[in-house]
This record gives sequence, structure tokens and C-alpha cells, in this order.
Amino acid sequence: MKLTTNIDGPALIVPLPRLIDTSWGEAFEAQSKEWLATPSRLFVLDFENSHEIKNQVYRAIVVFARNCRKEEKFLVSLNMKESIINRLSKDGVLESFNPLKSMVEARGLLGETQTRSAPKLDVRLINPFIQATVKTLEVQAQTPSKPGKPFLLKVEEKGDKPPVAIAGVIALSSSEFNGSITLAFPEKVFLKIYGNMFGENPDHITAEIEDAAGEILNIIYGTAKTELNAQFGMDLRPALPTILSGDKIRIRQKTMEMLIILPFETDAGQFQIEVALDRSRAG
Amino acid sequence: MFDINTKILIVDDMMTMRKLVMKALKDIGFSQFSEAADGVKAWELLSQPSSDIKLVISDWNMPNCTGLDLLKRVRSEHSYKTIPFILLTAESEISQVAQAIQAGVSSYITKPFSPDVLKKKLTEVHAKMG
Repeated sequence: MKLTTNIDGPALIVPLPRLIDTSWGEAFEAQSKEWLATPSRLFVLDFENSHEIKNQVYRAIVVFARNCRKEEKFLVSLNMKESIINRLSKDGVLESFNPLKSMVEARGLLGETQTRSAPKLDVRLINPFIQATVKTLEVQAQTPSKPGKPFLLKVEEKGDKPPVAIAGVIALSSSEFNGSITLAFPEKVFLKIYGNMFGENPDHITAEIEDAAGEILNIIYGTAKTELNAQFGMDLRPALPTILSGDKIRIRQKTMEMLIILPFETDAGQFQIEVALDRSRAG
Repeated sequence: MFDINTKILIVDDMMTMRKLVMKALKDIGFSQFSEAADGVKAWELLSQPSSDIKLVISDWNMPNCTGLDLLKRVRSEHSYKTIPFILLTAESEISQVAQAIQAGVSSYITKPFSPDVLKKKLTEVHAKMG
């Protein structure tokens, strides 16, 4: 027997039959080993059409649930009827089936996992960048900015973000890690900042305005680097910025163990700094 | 304070910073400027027989020739040994400041800088010239 499955993003969904019996259990035991080796991180047993489950099936589910935990993956059950819940609870195996109310709740487990298994957000590393950004925009560009809450992001989950029209990128290099820092602005936000710097009112990005983005990033990096090297013994090296621009450019932070997003708010709108680090590539 | 007719050489590879420095100097009252995008070009301007540059404000990190290297070269030439030379840079680590002082820098300004800070430093440098 070959079990039918559906893929929904990071989830592999297994629709269950009306009667979940021994033959189903044997097929599940065989196929689940293959599923565990796939990129899927969430396995969903869909009880929508199920009315009865034989206890001979329990072992395959319990073993699979245990193996999922070892791999930091999740097994959940959806649409489980109350009669089945009661039966499984009485037999002491309900926890392995992990019944949830909705797919949204199930996907929420992935969010928890990502923050749990991702490297900790090291405030020693990011606070100097936050402070340097606020100070640089205030002093050099007469633009007050308010930092938002930093968060970790996987590179492939950048999703919908404000379009970036101009970005400065500096490579980070030290004996402890490599990476990059990107200062990314939507067009109208940076035009306003540039206008504040020079008392001008530009309406589109020019080479001169691109240069300004590079200089602002240069100052932010220099300021943060001084703090990190002096206070925390890091050995970040000097670097020159590269400017990227163009309508809705897509910034890719390659490699990288993690991507730290530092959002900021100004009167003209939001911008952000993306700090990408790869500790496995110290140079 | 320096005479407002003092010719100032502004050295920075970033056009924006040269523009910012010039704007701040204009706000103080200065109007005579030369610009260079690196230390090599700066030296060419400074060492011309007709050069009337009396003050240098330079970044540190630049391609071809850094601000520190420019400073060392300037101080090694008898003609420019005492020319006021201000380093204006995002690099403010103690070791770098020490290098600059040892090389004979007149003053050191860390970016980001406000026009008031620039004015204050110019006043201090001029006072030291006595």
C-alpha cells in the first residue's frame, strides 16, 4: 500500500482513511522513514475522514513522533474527532499524535522551532549597529530615527518586504566570523534623508545620492566597528561600501547562518539594516 | 579662527562627504576650496608650485593613498611640515588616533560630525598655530 501525501510549503500532509488499520500502519512505518529524510519539517495527520483507529497502529505513530523530535521536526494531527481523542487519551498515546485545532496553529510550531534552533540574537553585536545608525542619521543627516525590535530571519523567508530602491553593502570580516551588513532604503525614505543632509528636494535617485548612501553606511560601520573592536575585543577590519540601486532590487544575503533585521522608523518611512553572519566561515 | 579666504583642500573618496564638509565650511564663511578623491590627487594639488592651500581636511580610508599616508608625506616635506592637517574619519579606534598623532596630525574629527564640531576644531587648530 502506498500512502497518499500532499505537500504544503514546509508541511507534509497525510490524509488518513476512514479505518486506520494494521495495513495502513505498516505502510506508514515504511514510508515515514523516507519522509523524515525530506526537507519537510511538519508532518500532519489529517483525520478529516477517519472514524476509527486500531491500536496496532499506535507503535508506528509513537516511533515516528519520537524520531521527529530528535530531528527537531513536528508531528501533529488535525480534524481529530472527539471519539478518537478520547480513545487515544485513554490508551496513553494522545501526546504522540499531538492533536491541534488548525493548520495555523501547526505552522506556529515552525516559528518556535526557528527561533529555538537559530543562533541567539547577540545584542552585543547588534546594539552598536543600532546606536551608530541612530547617531549617524541624527548628526550627519539631521534625520531622527527610531529603532524597532530586531529579529532573526532565514534568508529564504524574506517574503514581502518594503521595496528597496537603494542599498549599501559592506563586507564584515574578522577572525570570528564573516558576513555583510546592508543598509536598505525605499526610494522616498532615502530621498528625504538626502534632502535633510543638504537642504535639497531630490525626486529621484542619482549617482550622487547613491554615493551618499555609501557614505552613511561607511560612517555607521566605522562607528559600530570601533565599539565592537574596543569594547568586545572583536577584530573587524576596515571595509569600503558597495552601492546597489534600481527599482525594487532584491538583496540576497548568501551563505549565512542567520540574518538579523534591524528595522528603523523615520518621518519619511521605514528602512532597515540587515546583518548577515556566518560563523563557520571565519577568515 | 582661520581667515575666511583660507584655501582649504578637502580630501575624501566619497563625493557626499566632500560636499558635506564644503557645506559646513561655507556655513562658517569659507569660500576657497580644492577637492581630491584620494591622497595621490591631493598631493598633486598640494605640491603644485602655484598651490595656495593652507589647510587640509582629509578622510583616512581612501583608495590609492590613505589619509594617514598623505599626512606622513606632507609632514616629510619641509614646505608643508606645519600646514594644518585635520583627519576627518569614521575610524576612531585608539590605535589609529595614536598613529595619526604620531604622524603629526593637527586634529582628529570622528564621523558623524556636526558643523559645530568642525568649527570648534578649526578654532582649536588655529589657536595652536599661535
